[in-house]
Amino acid sequence: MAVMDEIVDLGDGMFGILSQPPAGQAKAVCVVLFNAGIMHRSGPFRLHVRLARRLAALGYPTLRFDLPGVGDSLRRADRPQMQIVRDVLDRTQAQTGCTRFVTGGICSAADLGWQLALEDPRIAGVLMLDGLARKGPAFLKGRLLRARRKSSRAWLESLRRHLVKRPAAVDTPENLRDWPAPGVEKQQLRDLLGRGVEFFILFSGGTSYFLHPGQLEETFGPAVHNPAVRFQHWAQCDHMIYANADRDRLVAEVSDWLQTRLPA
Amino acid sequence: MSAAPQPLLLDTDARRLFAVFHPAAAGTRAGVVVCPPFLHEHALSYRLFALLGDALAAQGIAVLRFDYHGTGDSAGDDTAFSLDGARADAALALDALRAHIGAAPAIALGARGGAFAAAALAEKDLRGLWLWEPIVDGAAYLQELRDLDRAERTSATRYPNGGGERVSPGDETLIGFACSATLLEQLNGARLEPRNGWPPVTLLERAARTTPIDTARRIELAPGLGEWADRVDIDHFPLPAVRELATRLATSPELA
Repeated sequence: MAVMDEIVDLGDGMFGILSQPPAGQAKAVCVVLFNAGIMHRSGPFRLHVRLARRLAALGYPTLRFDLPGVGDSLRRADRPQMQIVRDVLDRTQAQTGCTRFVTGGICSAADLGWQLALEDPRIAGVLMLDGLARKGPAFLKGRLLRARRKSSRAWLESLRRHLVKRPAAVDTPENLRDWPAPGVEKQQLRDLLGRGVEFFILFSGGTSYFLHPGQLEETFGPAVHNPAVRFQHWAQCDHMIYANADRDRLVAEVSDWLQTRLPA
Repeated sequence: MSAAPQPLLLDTDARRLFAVFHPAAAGTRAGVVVCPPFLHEHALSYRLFALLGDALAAQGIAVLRFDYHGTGDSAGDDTAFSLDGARADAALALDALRAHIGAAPAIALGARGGAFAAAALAEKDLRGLWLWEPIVDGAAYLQELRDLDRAERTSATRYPNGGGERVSPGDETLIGFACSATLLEQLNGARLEPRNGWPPVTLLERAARTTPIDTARRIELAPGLGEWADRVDIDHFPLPAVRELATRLATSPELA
């Protein structure tokens, strides 16, 4: 028997696609992938489809769906997003029998996975791809290292942009993303690790705010050295995982992480 | 707003297609099967055609959208997608639409490369063909895609640290997607040429576009509806413009 995709009703005019493991091979942990921004549930370059089918083949039922206002979920949310995703977990639990979940995804999906883990004890793991990070000394170090690699042409372009007067940037990650107050995340990570939550944290080279691997510890504190935190920095991968080879690698890494850290 | 769209799986022996049916709000006047664009354009326009499907359904026109085999949520990996497969899938989708709308007239909407698939339905008793900035020259389109792919791979914005030019050995990719030699060959040889026996064609395109297809009817796309075809990154769509377009389509002469 092969992996089968099933349509599941998630209520409120929403539906999801559940990639189901072969009969008799389902594990007790279900993966729920959130939208990467406004990209519909298939994910950038179909990443979520590939990931869902691979994880299902390994025994992890995997759901992808559209949050209100994205893709096929035509209506905008009329209640808090957290309530909506917890209802989605309830329905998925009823459908699969799984009582433990891994959630998250790219960018805003990573942020939502983090928040959900704080609120819902069923969360056993969080996928954080280009999620929360703060700019500190390591960021500046990364910036300097990047500047050293710039060509003279790129330097001239940077200088030109610098000299052109622009209004203060409002589209910084801190303004656009739903992140906790700076510093709070350190205690939050300690709490989540204390609860046994596992983390797969990956930063690509395509974000403007994560330029050096040292930012992870500056952001979350020494708890990042806990074995329950698997961290990778792929400086030569972009934010949307454009290259097919990077998507292959990501699917392999997440598969390995799940099998190693959440094998049940 | 119309009834909630209904997700479907269209099963055949060889292919399993994901589809969404938008039932008409009241009294089905017609049905439209939407043949989506290819590769990255599929995801960029996904929300647009979901919104348009909803808006048409509110005007009494049922809509069936689907993902070709090897694309979106349909079965098959990326390399399973081909142009001939897209044409076969469009025929399956039209059958599924007709199973829902009965004797009501059917129209095929083909967006960009999806026009090749929609055109394959032209002689299946359609009331009209709606072509959204259709690709007419597959070889030229393939070259555009290759140029865009090269630009993305060497983009300092996408890859500030380089690395975009890495490709696994034996991996043929286009705009991020793995693709088969069959797809490249079929696309390279594809041409959209209206034939006798085609139903009335309506062209939907932006003001600056002039698709070389003779037609009596052309609808100019409002700002915000067509720009996705020039991009690689996703953006929002203006809902009022989508609804206005649905109203214009719903009053098409072929539906009078």
